[in-house]
Amino acid sequence: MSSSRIALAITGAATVTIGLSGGLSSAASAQSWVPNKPFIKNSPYVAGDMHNHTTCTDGSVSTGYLLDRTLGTGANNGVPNFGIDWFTHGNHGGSGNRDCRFSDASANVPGDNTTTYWTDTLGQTIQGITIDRLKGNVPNPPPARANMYRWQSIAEVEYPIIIAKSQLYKKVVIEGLETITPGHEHTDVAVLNGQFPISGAGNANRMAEFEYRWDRSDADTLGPVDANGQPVWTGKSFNNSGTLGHQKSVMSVAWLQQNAPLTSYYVPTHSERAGAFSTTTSAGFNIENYRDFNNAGPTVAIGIESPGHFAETNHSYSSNAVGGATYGGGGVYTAKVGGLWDGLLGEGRNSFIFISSDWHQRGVFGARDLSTTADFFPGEFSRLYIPNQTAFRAQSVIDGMRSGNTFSVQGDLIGSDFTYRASANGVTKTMGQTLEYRPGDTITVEMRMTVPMKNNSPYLFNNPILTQIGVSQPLNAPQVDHVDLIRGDITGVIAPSDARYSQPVNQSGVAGAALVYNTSTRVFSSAYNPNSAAAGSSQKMTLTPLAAGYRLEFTTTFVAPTTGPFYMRARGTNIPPATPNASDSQGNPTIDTLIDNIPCADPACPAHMPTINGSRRVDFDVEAYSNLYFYANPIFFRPAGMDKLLVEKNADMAASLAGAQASAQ
Amino acid sequence: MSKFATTIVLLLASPAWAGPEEQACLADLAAARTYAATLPAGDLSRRFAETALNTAETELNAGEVEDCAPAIAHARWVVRTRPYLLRPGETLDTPGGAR
Repeated sequence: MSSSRIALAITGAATVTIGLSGGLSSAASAQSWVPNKPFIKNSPYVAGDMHNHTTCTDGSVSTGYLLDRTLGTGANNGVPNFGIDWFTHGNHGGSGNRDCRFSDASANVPGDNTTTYWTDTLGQTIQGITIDRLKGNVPNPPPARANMYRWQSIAEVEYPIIIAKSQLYKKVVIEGLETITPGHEHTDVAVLNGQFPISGAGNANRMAEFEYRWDRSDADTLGPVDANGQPVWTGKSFNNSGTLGHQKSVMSVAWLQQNAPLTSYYVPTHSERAGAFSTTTSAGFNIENYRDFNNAGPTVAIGIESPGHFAETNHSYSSNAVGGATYGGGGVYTAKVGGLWDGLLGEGRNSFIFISSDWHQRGVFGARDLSTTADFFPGEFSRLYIPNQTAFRAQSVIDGMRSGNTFSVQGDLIGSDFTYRASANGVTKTMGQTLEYRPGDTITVEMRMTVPMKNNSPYLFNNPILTQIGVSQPLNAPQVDHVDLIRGDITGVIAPSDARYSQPVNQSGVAGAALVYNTSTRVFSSAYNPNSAAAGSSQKMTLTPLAAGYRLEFTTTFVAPTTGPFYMRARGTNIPPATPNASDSQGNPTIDTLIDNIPCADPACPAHMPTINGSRRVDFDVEAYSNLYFYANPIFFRPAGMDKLLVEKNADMAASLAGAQASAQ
Repeated sequence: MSKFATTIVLLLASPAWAGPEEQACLADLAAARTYAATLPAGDLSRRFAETALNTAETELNAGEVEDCAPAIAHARWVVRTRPYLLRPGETLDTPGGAR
């Protein structure tokens, strides 16, 4: 057992209350099921989600309802649950005025359809939680519909609920955050410290502290106080915009690296949405910002989250977003071959892609409806797969994400038993790992995947994007058309003093899509479903029918180059190359605004599709289920004898920290 | 305390004391709701517009005032262009029917 696992193992289920006069109160039982009833699933990977919202911030349903729909299985009165294996609750920072033990009226949840505010319920015990006052610098008594700061709701409301649901469903649930990032837009964060102690009750106080200290929407100047009324968390900065804000964000990463180097992550999300970085306001993220984060938090700032909001028009991206919109449901930083992500990989950085739901609401529909014009529940459409373990624990989530051995899937295009690995000289490595080679070696890349029989789409009519090219494929039974292996050279870490550190200069809008961060990146090879009409003379995968779906696999071999290191990432899709309004001749997703051109002409096309120039067009959930991708993190390749890549050095740093912790215990 | 922090504290105390940005959002929200109400009650585009306006209010109440204006602008665009139309006899069904 690793040191971190020892630290997080739980042997008791005691309940404690940490109560200061204005401090945090946490009354939650520890995850007592963990050592006795470990979650075991016969799969190499387990599916989860790390970005989702409730009425504690700007979501539509209660915390409990979200967890029931996400962690539960089967259906309840015809309303499906999505049964994911692990969950990080990543709600916004700042404050909120609604009591998230209740859903919003707009969600139309039977029996829970009255919007309730914190000031309606003070002093009442609800779901075992009693909130006596709104803490921090909120007047006491508070005015009607006053907000609760998120540091309080994280520690005193969300954490006890996630622990209770974790015990109920016997699944790992973590209290996380989508922080409103100083100088930028948003970032997914989790701090495990204290949540799953060796014995006794846990708390999310460190997660709450991060939110108080570093979230730019958290305007509280007090935080929790001790018995003498003195602030517990001192030294908060309010430099929240532009360059100063970015510097504060870098400090927040350093804080994580100092306090939680193995028990936290920091992953900017929908990072193209707010446009290019601004030196004066809070906007988007540039490549130099990502580099700053990874430099400050080598084991913490580990990647980039591609956008959620999969059923929203253009996935919530406006024309001001870098790239001008999304591409195949992904931001241009990750969707573009040679884009920002490839720029980071071209340095050999441990920068990995993660995809989650960003669940808030279902737009014009209620939470129990199957259609949506905004978001999908966690696990309903997108799944983030991380390595399984025989005793899967909260630390497994952080360890798995940090390893880079993860992949993300839209619309259940492929299942959990995915294999992507490379071998040479009898040594095999997978995603996030580095394979050493000698020039002239034969390198073998293998990929295997299961294509499920169907997904969660409520629509059974044919995919309107594919209808354009004469392909009949029901939306609820997508087929993998092909997989691309995308290769780029690694040319070394760029120092902050190097002019290239902030090159190319980022641009908001569609102009940002033209930027190339790694000119060597290209589609190295593609492998097609043998049933794909687009396969032509390209390599075809082997197809093996299964009881539920089928298996695809292929192997590619090539001679190791005489040149320096490189990486190879992978993507798969149901969209053939050169599909009008959806992909270019190289198989790259085109800008999603083009999908407005595609008619939704099937008689079963739902009424909520927009009408443009007299005909219904593809949008919202129909667009999401029509245009599917999966992304697999890279395998790195390095000539034997060459200095280790940064991704290896940072993995070594994590291992060294874990070893030091083990020695200290 | 920064100006930004002061603004939010005032907002916490009461929407009536909100800072200029928040007050502007609230005013725009009220005007946009009036504009949306110019469409017939059963109009699908009105439903989309009012959903966007509810989102704007939710974002404001969650302290994300920067998300307020885009949601209101979208609602106004929906009312102006009416891209969501029910055909004669059609309803906004969701597969599986009402739950």
